[in-house]
Amino acid sequence: MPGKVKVRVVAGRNLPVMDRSSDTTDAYVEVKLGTITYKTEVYRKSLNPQWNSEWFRFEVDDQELQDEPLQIRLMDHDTYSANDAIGKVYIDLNPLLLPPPTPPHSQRPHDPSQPGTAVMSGWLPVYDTMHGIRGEVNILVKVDLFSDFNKFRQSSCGVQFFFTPEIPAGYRCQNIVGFVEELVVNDDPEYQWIDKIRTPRASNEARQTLFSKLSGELQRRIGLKVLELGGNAVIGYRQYFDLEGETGIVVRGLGSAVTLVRLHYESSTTGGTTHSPSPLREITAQRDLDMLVEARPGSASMVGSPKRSSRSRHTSGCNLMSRSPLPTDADGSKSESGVGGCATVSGTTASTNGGATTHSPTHSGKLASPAPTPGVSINRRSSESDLSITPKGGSLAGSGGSSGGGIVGKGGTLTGVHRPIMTQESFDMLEYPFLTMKTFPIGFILHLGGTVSARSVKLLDRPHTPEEVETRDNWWTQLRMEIRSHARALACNVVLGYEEFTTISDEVCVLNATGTAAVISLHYLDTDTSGGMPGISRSLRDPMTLSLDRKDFEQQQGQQNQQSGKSSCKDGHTGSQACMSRSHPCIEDGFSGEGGSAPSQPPPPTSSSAAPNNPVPVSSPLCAMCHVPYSETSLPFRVKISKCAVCRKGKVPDVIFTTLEPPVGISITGKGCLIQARVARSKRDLKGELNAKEISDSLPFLEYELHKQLINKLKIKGMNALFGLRVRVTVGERLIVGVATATAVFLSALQPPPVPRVTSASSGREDERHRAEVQKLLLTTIARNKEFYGTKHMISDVLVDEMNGARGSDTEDSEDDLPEIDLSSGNKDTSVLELDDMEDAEMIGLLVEDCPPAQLAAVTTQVPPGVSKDSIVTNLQMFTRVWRTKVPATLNHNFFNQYFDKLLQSVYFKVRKLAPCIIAGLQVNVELPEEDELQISLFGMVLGQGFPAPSQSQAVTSSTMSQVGQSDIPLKKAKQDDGEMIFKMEELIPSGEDNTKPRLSQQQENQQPPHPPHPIVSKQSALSITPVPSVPSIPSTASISSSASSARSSTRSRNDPKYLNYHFSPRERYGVEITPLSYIPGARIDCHLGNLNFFFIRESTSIKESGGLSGFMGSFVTEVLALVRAHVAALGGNAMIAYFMSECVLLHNPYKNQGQCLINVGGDVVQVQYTAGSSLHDGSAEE
Amino acid sequence: MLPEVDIFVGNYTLIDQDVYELWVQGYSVGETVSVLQQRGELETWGATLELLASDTADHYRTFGMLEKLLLTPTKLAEEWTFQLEPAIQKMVIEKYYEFDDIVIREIIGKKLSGRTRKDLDDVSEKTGVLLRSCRRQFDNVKRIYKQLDEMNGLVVANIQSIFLLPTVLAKKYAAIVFIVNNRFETSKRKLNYLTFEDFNVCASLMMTTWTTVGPLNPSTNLGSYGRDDTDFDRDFLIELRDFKLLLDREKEHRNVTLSHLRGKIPDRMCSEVENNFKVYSRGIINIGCSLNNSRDMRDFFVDTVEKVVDPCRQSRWKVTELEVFLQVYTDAGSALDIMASNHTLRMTWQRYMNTMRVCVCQLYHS
Repeated sequence: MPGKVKVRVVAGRNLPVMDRSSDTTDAYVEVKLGTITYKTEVYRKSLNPQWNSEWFRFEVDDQELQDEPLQIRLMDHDTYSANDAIGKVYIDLNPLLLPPPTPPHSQRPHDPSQPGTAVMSGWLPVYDTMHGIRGEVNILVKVDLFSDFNKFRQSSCGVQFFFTPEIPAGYRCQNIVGFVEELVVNDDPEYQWIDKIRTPRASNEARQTLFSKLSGELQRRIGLKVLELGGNAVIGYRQYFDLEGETGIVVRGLGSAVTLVRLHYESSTTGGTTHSPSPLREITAQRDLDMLVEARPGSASMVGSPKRSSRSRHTSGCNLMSRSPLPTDADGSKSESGVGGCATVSGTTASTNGGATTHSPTHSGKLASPAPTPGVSINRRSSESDLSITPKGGSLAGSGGSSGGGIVGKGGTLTGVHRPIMTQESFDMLEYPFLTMKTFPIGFILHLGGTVSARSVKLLDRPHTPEEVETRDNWWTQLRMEIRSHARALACNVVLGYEEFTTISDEVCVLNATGTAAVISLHYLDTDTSGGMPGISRSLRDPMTLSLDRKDFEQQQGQQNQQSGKSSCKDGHTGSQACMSRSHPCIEDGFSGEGGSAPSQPPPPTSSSAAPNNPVPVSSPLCAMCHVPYSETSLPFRVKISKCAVCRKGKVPDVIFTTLEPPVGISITGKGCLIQARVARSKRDLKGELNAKEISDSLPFLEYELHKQLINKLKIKGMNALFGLRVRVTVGERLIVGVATATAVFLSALQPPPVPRVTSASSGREDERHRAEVQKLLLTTIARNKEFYGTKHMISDVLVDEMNGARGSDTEDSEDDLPEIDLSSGNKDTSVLELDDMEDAEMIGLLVEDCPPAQLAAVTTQVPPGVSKDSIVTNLQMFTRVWRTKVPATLNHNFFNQYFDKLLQSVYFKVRKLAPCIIAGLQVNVELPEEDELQISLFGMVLGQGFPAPSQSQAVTSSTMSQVGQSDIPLKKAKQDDGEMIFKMEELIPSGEDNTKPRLSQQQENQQPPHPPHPIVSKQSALSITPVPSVPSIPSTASISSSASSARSSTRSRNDPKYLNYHFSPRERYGVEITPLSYIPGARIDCHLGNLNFFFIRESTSIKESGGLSGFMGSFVTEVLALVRAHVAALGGNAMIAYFMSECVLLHNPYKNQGQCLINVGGDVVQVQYTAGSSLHDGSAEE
Repeated sequence: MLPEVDIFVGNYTLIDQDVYELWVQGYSVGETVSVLQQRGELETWGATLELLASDTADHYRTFGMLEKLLLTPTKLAEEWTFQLEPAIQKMVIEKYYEFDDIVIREIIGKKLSGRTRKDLDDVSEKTGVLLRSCRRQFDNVKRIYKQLDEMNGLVVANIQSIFLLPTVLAKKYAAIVFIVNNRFETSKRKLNYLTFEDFNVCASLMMTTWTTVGPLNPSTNLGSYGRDDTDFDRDFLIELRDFKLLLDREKEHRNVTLSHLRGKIPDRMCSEVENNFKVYSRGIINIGCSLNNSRDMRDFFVDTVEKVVDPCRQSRWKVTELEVFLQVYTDAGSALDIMASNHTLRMTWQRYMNTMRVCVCQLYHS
């Protein structure tokens, strides 16, 4: 009986009129959890009832707590007829079962008087599947968990789930324990016999309830697996609903099980402070001291409860007791040293360290002492080493690593016992070395292999039976094995960014699995100790510091001299580890001494320490990520391999495709851009097995065409790598559609892409002329693209280098297990575009795409590659775009491509007034709901670009550039530069404005000419970085390029500084932010409050009256977002990160004027704090 | 082929001000698109007409949903459905409740009934404002009027708290509510030349001086409870009947007025006053005397124009001269012996004349 849920219904507001005669409602509320239902009184004749109910208590199993949603149903009381339903609220109790977030400062609206209880309260919209939102209800929910240390329990409360595909901000990943997956199978109520006799509302609600339960059950079962593995959290969690129709529903979940450790930091040390480190060194030091462990499984084991982190708050009584000995750590330490002693090197550590072992949840101790004394922090630190008690090898690393780090900090020798984050043995034990994360800390990835994917076509012909789970499990197992063998073929030891998804059409289900094969460092924790991991997670939490991390990287490149004062962030890393081992009482002195010495100590090159037999120069350890992990001779397929352009030692492939985010620190030239390949193949309308075979036969061709398109577009864009690749194959009745969306970048390490050569088989004069034309078009497009994305200089440099045969250093240093490759084997000829028939010609036309409008860009990744993170200052708008049209029976490529082009254009147009901005995290989903219908949905985040960093040259490798060095440049100088720019630009303007002016004069006199939404005249003095290089070159571009691009030049008039309206970091933000990304620019994530996952169904029988399908969908999506916001706020959050929308299924029956839509949304609830004001960037902008 | 579904929904509801204004003005999607096109929106952004149409349709859909909440603006901040930055919330409400003076000028004289609403196409035709916009303005007035009807207290404050309007706009609505509530006659042909602003100024002034909240109202109790500035102060209206006493002393009044007037306005006007004092004075006083009759009250504007403004116009007064004359006339009235003995009468006279003076000048268009 481990849980008590208490619910109080306070009031309702803005309820709908249910009684037409009196224009009021007699509302009451039913509160249901599991099988128990309570009711409030009927509040008569009011649309704003005040129930002020008593506390309804539910005593439930924690298994039930995890599976069952709390259901709040509002009813209208009728004396004579049956009571009518107004609507419902589903509350997922899982976020309330998590350990308390203990925010660094008490901003949390949660009940402060009862720290042991998790509370949720607020106005939640009442939702009805037939009418949408119908008013709001104010409720209070409290959950009291009792400790349950039963080994055989079925619940997994306290395992935290993060949709965020990276180590969540504010946490340190101590151990990656493996890949977890689970699936549950059920009948779909929509297809049960009973559905024939019940109302649509009842049916929809049955489904919503079931989906909610299934997703709770799934999460609980995955949680159990995580606990079994010894982890305490799942990151990169993903959940899929496979609506198979007649055969039922399958809910699947995937994630990476990890051991997370929460970091503590003071609220005073915001991102901004790291910019001016010298006066704040002490604070920074404090913060590092505070980066301490709190509740986690191992620590819980101290009190005999294995793997129960969640209990920390319920044992708060113990904490109170344990708090008192903390200041006198010497005593405490001795008593505990036995426990802490497991760490070999911790002899030094132990004397103080042991102290905390009294009890792990020291965070409560922290709460008691707002200004953490060194003693406290040391105690807490030691609790980390205690964690090593957990059976996993990885957690031993915690202590081993810490001592190693300490030694580094002091002596500068790396003798650490290698206790990797992922030990060889535990790694080998993993059945599937898959990770669902997409972003990794520096040094974690050694080599990127490439994208691997596997598909399998299955026939769903039998209804579900109890064994059905096994069948599905087997299906996926097969796929995973295939993926694993692909990865091995690439000589990779792990698949990152792993995903599994399905597409279902009638009885055929296509299973897809995909990921990026890579080689990771099994000795990762070494680098962690010396500053990798904590830095990363912090930097991801706060974009402002990321630049510092980049600077760290630069520092690694050998510019350590000037750093010492500034790299407080760096200090942080080393410092944090250093202080781990610092056991002597004179912390303050010790620290400052250490802090000073740390930066001068070159961090051990990640890859060299990890793979000593494979030494990579310190100067550029990160280009190693691009080096091929396999030897050329053993390749199962043809890859062109050449010398790494950065180190000139390693070997790199000609292109790299990955599903990941661009790794931090990887060297990128120019900017990234969106690339999309779309292929539609028609198929015969068959049934059953024949259909499956048809699809199965068609898929390889589809795949091939997608790949070809991607490669060709990549070349034309002048790029050589893809990140954030997302391939979606959709099967319909008459069509199979494949869409690959990715962000193309130019990796400095890879060779520049060869210019495609156009050939024509026939030799007629006409053909030859045509061929020449096409070739010319290609060349101009490539030139334009290079200019636009800033890859030009680099390419030419490299080319020159190559022509000179500058293979300078590639002598004995080159990796000897990889054979030399022959550079003379003509690179250029490999890319040939054949021009045999009309279709080919058409294809080339499609390849030549326009650049996105100036000041706007789109990428699929979280951070636009090649754009300084400093220049992204704020979130502007998260958008959902759904578009559906009838398609002609024979869909040719041209048509199909146009749909996407237009859609992208329309998004650009939509956000035009927000420019300068970048659309990040763009996702595209395609559905084929009917034989002749195509539905494309996309969503993404519009990021606002701020005042450009002064004097930035775009042509240089911008990603690796650190902004910090420049930020001190006097503003005057920058303004001068910009002044000149403006002058140049205005010269260009007239051509654009001449057209518009006469029109303006014709307008009615009361209408104003178009103006930017908020013209900020004073801010015009500078231009954004991104377009600057391209702008002065417009005339030249226009003159050479074909009509397509000259048409564009007129649009460039929006470059007019009048329209430029730079964004600023918000000091605070109104309402609830929702973002598909895992960070919020200009804000710091203070705490994670759990994950939410909703499945909404909306049905209407008056589609025409509600503004057609568009009106229906528009209001539904709006309401879904409103519901999400309300739940986020009720949990005490002010933002949702890693937001996703999947399964946007829209069914429509125009003859019945009826429509139904299903949407699955979710994300991580967080509380963020906006850091503007303290940031240097903002300060300079507002000068 | 037109797409079946074409939506763009954001987490924050961003309002395109240009489109919103056109929507408020009653333009349809198509009309708005062509207006924006004429403004050069396509050239500026390099887009096709299709994109503009889709964008505009999206905005209109949002506005359509937003409109439901705009009817009760407090819900806009309360409900989760639309996440609007506070500044945008304010802007959206303000724009929605803004009105065209010419349209309101037509509406205020009529009953706020469904029938009037149906006849709004006449108004639309006459004013050149789109019918949709006329309807919105009519509905806004009716909604505010109905809501305020049930409430006590200061109209402006009530409007501001319920409809979250800026003070300037709230004051205008208060005047409208006042005019509608007292059913002033405004649509007589004679009054055609008057603008909404004329009525607004007069009504606002009456609200502050002639109602129960008026500062000169001796019966005003200190607490705000029960005060209402939509209804006239009955006691005051009854006291106005005592102005008959002034008629008996018309000669004295005239002499005092003239003696103070000399030198302040041209001699020609002085002699005009000398000759026609009776007309002006009787006009003004008779209006006051009859105000306690609600029928006469309704005809306040008609009577004022007929009995005071028209004679003035015939004698070609300049507004500044008229102001001086009325001021002197008022002061002369206060200085009469009869006033010295009857304090209440003097207070009433001043309370009446201070407002009347401004009203006459406002209604006098030279």
